Amino acid sequence: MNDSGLPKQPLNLKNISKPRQKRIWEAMELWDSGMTQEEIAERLGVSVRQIRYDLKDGMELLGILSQVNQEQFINWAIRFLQREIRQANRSAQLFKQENSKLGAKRLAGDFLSKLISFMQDTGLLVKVPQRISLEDFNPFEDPEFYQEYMDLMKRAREKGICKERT
Amino acid sequence: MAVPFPHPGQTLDSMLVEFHRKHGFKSPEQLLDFCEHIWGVKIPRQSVCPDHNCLSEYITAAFFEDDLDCVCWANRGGGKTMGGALVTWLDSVFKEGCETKVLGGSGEQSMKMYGHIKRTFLNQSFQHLMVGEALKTYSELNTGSTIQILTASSKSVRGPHPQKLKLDEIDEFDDKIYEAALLIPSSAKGISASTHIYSTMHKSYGLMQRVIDEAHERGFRIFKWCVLDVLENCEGRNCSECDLWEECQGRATNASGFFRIDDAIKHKRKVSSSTWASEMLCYEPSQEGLIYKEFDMALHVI
Repeated sequence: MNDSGLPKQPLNLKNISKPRQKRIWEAMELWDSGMTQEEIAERLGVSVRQIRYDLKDGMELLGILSQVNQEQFINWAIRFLQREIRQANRSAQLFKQENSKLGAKRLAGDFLSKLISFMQDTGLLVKVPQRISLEDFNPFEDPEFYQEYMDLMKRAREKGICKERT
Repeated sequence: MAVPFPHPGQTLDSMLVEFHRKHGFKSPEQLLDFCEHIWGVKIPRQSVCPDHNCLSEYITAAFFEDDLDCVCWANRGGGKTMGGALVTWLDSVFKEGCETKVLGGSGEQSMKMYGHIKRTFLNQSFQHLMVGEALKTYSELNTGSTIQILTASSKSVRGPHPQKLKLDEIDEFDDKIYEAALLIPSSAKGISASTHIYSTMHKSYGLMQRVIDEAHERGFRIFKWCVLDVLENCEGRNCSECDLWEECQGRATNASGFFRIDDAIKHKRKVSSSTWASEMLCYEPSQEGLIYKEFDMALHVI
């Protein structure tokens, strides 16, 4: 029941105008990024009370959507992580301090790991090699091959086929 | 099932590196052959001046840790920086958890050494060794090793204590920074602390001269080589007409280095005899610019 005594209408995207839908998602994104309701209200130019309603409806819609359409949620999560990787890489390019660049690069790496784990958990990615394995088959284990390869490369350097570093 | 050879993403060189990471190096010669192949450099195997060392002696002594603290006193273009870079690369790749700090007399000098290392890591064959990419002044390897480049300053010598310290072109250092820098390395993860110093000795009574004078007392081994020790092998030249005859005396016929003879001759023609003697032949430092050039403690002090 709502304040007027009428039964509450179930929330549906069709009942919400396009501009409000847009504002709801913007408010949700800003909320996720750590902004307060007051800050979001100031940013979007609406009252704090309105933002409170938007966030409440947003949470409800997200719940409905994730129940109805898991694919959509997975797409959203992937897109979110991809955007964060891009943002961190962009920051690394723009920062002037080496330490800040390094921090941004590491952040991008962390997001990439999260993305890979998420995709593995959801079954979208079957296997990602942790590192290139060179131990399985290495021809240099054979001493004859080792010696022949080194001799060949030495002859190549002497002949000038392999360029020497200056 | 036939094994694809090599696997996608592998090269023979990456396999060679992995082979040595697993089995180490059997002999100094094997290490030097490997370095020449992977780095594409020619490493002189023997010195031609009787009281000098050769670059290969330094590389093997540094890698096998026969001598932990070394001073390389060599000529301009004699491969000091490249040798330092090579040893740093070997330590980082083959010794797990080896941390190195490189301090240069100038930012440019530090970057020069790091440039040699970075160029190798950019090679596809060694990409698998890296954690992330080689950054401008910092690289991290999957062995847990790190390489950091700094310019010598009072701030940079304070901070973390890696096991390996490389001081490049020390004649350009401030005395106090040098003293503080010597306290940087400390042993960890089974790797002994070591300090390696590289420079020409081009300043009279400069820091390098002090380092050499005090080397024995402070436990540093001196590796010294001059332009003749790194000269390319001399073939088919007429010694009697050669501008280098005075210092060479035909010894370059036994040389096995990388320094072009024509370049050495050009350098000799261009610079003054004192600069040539101090910077290329590693004799006493040039006394140019001193007010009392001929001052001698023994003669002029009562």
